[in-house]
Amino acid sequence: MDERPFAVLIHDAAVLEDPALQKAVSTATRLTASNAELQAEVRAQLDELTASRRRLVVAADDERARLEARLERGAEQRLLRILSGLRRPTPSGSDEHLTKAIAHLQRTVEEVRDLARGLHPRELAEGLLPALSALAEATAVPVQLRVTDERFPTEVEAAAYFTCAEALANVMKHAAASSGSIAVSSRNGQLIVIVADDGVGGADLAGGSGLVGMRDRIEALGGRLALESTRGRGTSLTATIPFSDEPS
Amino acid sequence: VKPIDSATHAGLLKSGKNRTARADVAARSVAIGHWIIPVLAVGYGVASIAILSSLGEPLTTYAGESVITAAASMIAGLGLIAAGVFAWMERWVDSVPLATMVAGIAWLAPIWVGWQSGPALARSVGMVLTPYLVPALAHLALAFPSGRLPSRQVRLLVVCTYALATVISLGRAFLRDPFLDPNCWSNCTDNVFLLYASAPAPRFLDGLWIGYVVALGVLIAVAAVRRLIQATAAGRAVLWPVLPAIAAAGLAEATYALAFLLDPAEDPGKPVFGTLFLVRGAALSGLAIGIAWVVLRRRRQRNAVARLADELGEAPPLGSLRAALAEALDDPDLNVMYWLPDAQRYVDTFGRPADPHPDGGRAVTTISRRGEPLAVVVHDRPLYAGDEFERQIGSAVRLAIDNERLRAEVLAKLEDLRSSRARIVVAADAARRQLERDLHDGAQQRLLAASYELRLADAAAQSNGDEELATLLASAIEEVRSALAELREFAHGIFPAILDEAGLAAALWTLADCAPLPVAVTDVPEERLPAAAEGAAYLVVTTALDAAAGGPGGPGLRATVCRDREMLSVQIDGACDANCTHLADRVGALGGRLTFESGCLRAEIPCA
Repeated sequence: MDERPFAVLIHDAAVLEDPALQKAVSTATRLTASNAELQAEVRAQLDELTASRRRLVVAADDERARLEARLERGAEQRLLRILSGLRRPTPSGSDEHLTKAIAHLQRTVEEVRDLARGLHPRELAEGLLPALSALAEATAVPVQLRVTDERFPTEVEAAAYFTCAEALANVMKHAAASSGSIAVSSRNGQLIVIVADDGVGGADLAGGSGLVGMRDRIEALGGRLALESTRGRGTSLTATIPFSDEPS
Repeated sequence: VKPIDSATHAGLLKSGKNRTARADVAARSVAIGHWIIPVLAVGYGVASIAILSSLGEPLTTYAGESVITAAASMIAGLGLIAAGVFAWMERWVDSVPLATMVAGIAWLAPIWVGWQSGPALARSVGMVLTPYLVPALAHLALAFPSGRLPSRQVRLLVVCTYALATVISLGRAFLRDPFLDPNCWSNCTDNVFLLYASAPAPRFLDGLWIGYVVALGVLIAVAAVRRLIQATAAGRAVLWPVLPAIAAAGLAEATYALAFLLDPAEDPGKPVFGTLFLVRGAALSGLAIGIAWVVLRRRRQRNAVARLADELGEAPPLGSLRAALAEALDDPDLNVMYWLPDAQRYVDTFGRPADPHPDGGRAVTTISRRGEPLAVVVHDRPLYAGDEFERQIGSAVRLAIDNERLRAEVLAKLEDLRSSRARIVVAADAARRQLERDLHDGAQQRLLAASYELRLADAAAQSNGDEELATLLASAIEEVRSALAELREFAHGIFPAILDEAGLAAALWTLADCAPLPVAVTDVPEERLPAAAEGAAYLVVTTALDAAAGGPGGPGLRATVCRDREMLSVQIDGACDANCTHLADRVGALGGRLTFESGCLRAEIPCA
């Protein structure tokens, strides 16, 4: 048996005279102490894992932004340059093949833009409000916006944006809603994002893999994702993401 | 330290809350009842010995026949009473000790009946008690050891057997005048309960008694054997000392009753009855020993649980509680599952999700503290009745359980975190692959089509002699070609399609071919591995390559990849020290490890 002392109790001499009581106290203390030791040991592992998970999310965000920039500055700009060269009025009028080529190039530009937008919408560089406005415009049902114009750390804004995008995509796919709403506000160092619709409800966090991915991402930033969806009463998704360590 | 018994604890709380005079009286009468029953049973047994040992007195019963029959009578009867009293003092559920005592009392009753010089009342009471042996055996056969009867029907059956025994017993007491009985042998004079001396009624009751004992005896044997066959391994350990003896006793009683059909005049001197008596006595003695053995074994287990509380105080290795409990309770399949209040679910010792709903024959005991569940113990049913086990668990064990629960909780969190991290990596990989595919199927195909149309337009312009347009188109074709090359390179950078299509070996060789510095790739397994492992291994090599290409020109890299069963190891010699945090995160997310030591970057990636 391990005889090394693990804790010292300082007490009044009279309090622990009874040997039975002494033993009971030492048993309880030893169990509690071994518990505390364990907690400290595993806590370190938990911290390391949490940090690693966060780094992975931030790295993935960075990569998306980098790829978006490369697509925009590279392929998109080059294609636009080619297009503007071909559109110069030519003396021989329009050639059928040239028209087709221009149409192909135009579609290519659109596709590259869509891919880039899916990676990292460029409006996000100006903040959540312009990015979410663009997102709402691209959605088929009217989406009411109430979005703060404050700025937040990049990874927080990205997580908030993609949560809204994923939620709206789900609204379009499953909810059969006639309208939706996005509310973004900040309180006590936390960004609160609420996406709601008036659709059929009955959504499930466990069901859609897209939402699981969003939850992993938000939890990696120390936040929480909650879903409220009763059949027939619409769906409301709430993401809470901390953006500063000390609550203001 | 004697742990505070939680039952005592709960009792104190209760009595503190609503202490009423009536509750006090009830508690006192329960306490008196607890002592009065064993005292009466033991007194009856002692008196039986006294009657039997009053030598010289005429005793018209089997026990009075010879020393051997006297021994058979006493060992079985006193043994059953002692086992019942022992079980009663061990606070076994009430019905099992009571039925055991009843069997013993009924077995000894013929001594009182045959006590020729005894008071008429004693002999008459003996007559009344005798028929209760068989229903008590049936009760034990069905209810041992938990005292619980499996269904309403079975409960009804047990009640009916006792009721029928009562009808026979009282019917004889009220209507049978022993003096008029032609087959009477043991007590032919006294019946103080006689109300009306009927001739046909006792004959009918005798017939009924024979049918009743034969049917019930066979039923006892069948039920006992069936229960023994159907029990789980741990259950059988509790049942085997008792049920075979009950089955034997049931068959012996049935045979004894059948003997009356051949020869209605019972006589210990006749070999059939004499032999049968010895067989019945032996079976009942076996039963008494079996019950005492099981009670003893349970007492040992209870002490083991109490000792466990002390041993756990000596800072046990965490995770050992399950094994300690399983050993103390002789149930190797015993399992402990911990309740996580935050996550609202049960996990096992290692934090893995667990299902507390037992499969057949297993019981669940919830261990709680201050009304909050701490854990459940899944164990074999016959071991404990009700929450007996809960009560045995003292506060130290509870603290140990709480400790293990906290550990399981943290481990569960760790597990959740790990799988969440792995999902993030998998999702990011899938997104890259999707992007590569989208670029390949969409933009790249369209650019090829545009280039084709431009060439046709160029040919047309040249044949039309439109030099200006032809020049413009020629440069556009060149531009589209380089845009396509750039897009391909971009897509390959996002996700090398060759990795998906041809595997790790082909992807690494291609990488080495295009690398700006010499890269030797050796030993790459040719077989396909899980996509996540292949992707991580590839990433290790490209990261090392990027770092080496950006750093001072060295002699080049050597990448060695080998697979040892479920572990893929990637070793890069000549790597330069770069910031590998991201790589370590990626490899770690797959449950692997990344190390860097004097120019050697080494990754171990699980690939099961």
